[in-house]
Amino acid sequence: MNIGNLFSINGTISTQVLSVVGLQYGPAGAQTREEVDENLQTLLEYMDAAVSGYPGADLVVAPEACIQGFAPTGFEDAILTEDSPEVQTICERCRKLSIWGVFGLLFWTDSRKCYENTAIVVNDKGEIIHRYVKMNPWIPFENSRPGKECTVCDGPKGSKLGIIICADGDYPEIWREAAYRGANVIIRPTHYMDPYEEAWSITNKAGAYFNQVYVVGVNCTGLTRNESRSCFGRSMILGPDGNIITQMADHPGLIKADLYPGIIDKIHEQAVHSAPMFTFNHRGASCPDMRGEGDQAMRYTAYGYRKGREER
Amino acid sequence: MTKPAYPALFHYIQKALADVTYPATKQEILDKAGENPVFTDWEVSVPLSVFVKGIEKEQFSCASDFYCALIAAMSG
Repeated sequence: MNIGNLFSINGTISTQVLSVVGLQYGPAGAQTREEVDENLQTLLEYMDAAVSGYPGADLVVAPEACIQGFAPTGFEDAILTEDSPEVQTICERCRKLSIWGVFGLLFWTDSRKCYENTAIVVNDKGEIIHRYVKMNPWIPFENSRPGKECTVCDGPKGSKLGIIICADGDYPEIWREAAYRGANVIIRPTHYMDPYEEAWSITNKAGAYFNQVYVVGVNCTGLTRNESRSCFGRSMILGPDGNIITQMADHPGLIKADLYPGIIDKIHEQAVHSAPMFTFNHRGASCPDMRGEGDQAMRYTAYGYRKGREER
Repeated sequence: MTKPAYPALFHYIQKALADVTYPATKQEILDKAGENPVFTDWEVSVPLSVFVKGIEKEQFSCASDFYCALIAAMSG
């Protein structure tokens, strides 16, 4: 677990155990509400299976666009709003099963000219307690409106959930944003397609390792009806050292792992070495000239630094 | 020729800090662990406070924060 540190971790670590189940299946590319409802039935069956197969599970994670899929064209009638009956059905199932869930959904914007690729977090009372809008749509094909920020919410069993969606994970800054805001588990619902299997693994490992967090990546699988790109599954759950705890093959099914969120929090507090949440903002802090503070100026052009601009 | 060096300095510093949790202030560290011995050579030990008192910073968000300040102070 702590292979990334040279020093021992001092102190007592107490943590609850977060039992996570990923739901790997292939929603059809819905163009009608009837097709959305077909996908919804699949999702509900997988949720039921998750608690049947893994009694006591705390959190289920569904893939991106989990009841809508991605039809290449003509999917306007499949886009929902947060108060759509289908969304209420998902929330009600969370309540009835007493389980939290993360669900990728496509919602209309207020203008109704476009949609937002969204993930909602539903608690075990059936309440939507967090919304994240994908900040990095897979342009040019995905013409959704991007979200503005990646916030974090409290989840079950001491977890702090950061949500990113699919192509978001190809950009290191959003993983860092979630971790810097306190996430100890980063959830990544995806519709990651062939032939990017290696990129899927590399980015999940890097996201976990660079930020010392658990990563739960749940992907679609198969070439489903009315879709033009196939997904390879391989949903995976990773530890903060970047190693894969468990992963699925390419068939539909469930993946499950027990995570220990309190360990992540403790590592971030107590780790002497390999502490990216501290060091990235305190470069060179152990240099005598830096007197323990390091250089806190964000001098990376890619992070907004411009010549002559010194503010932090 | 390799200069002789005592190998266990940071080993003992880390052990001396066993009960310290972060965030912590310098004073809290001194109160909780300042008297704990740190071997600086095979037969020589000093209280942890000898090292901590030389640190300029007064509070530390995490262990890495503390150690960076410590090493900066020890090197300066």
